Amino acid sequence: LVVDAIASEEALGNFGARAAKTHRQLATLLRPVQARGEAHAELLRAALVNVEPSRVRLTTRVPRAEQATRTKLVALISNAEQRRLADCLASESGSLARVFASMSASHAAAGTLMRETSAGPSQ
Amino acid sequence: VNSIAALQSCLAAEHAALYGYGALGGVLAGVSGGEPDLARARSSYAAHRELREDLTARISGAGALPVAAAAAYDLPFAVRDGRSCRRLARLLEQRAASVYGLAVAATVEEIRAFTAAALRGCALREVAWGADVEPFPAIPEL
Repeated sequence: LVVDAIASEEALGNFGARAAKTHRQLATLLRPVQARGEAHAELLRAALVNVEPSRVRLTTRVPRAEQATRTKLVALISNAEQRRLADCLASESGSLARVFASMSASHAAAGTLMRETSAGPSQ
Repeated sequence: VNSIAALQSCLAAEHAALYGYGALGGVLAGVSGGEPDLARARSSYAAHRELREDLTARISGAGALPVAAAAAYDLPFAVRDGRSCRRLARLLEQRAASVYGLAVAATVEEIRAFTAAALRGCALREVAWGADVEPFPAIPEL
């Protein structure tokens, strides 16, 4: 559960970092995604006891078009929200369930804000 | 902590949140140009009222007596204008989220799903009131 969650959060953070390099004008949107993914992964790595985190790195291609990158980002965040919620419900540890619920809520808030921003008149 | 105790804590937090929203709603009603905030306060109040009713039913259904609201609550600071109202709303959501976070840890299965959904709602409202998206909402120690 935790190993998969680390890989998922790292993948989201990596997407944010790579997309920010490709689309510099979206950096203010993408850097927080990177920071959240990294913070989530770091906390989960600290929760692992006698288990090695996976060395497999999941990567998602960054679209060349800005709007497609926004769409991809919202989809990735929504996926992370659902997966952390599922992790919360599946967790045998109450404290880990709390962490997963918090992460899921964080993704939910980020995704909602991003959708509102994309739908705004300035876009 | 058993699940009923956790739900009682959530209910107590909802009583406090409703009191706070009642207070700030009264102020916002008199703020010029405060209609968007007032609408948000009303929808937030409605969401917390729904949670309060749900929690009350769950606790009663388990054969326990739901914790009652206090006659009054101390507000952490004076609310006089739109800015202080928004600040209070963020604080109310933050505090309620923290209690739901503890309830997530203390419960399992359907009740955990309910408390996690409530935590999510608080986090969304906190951001809607102008808070930054935190990496770990509802966990103040992180």
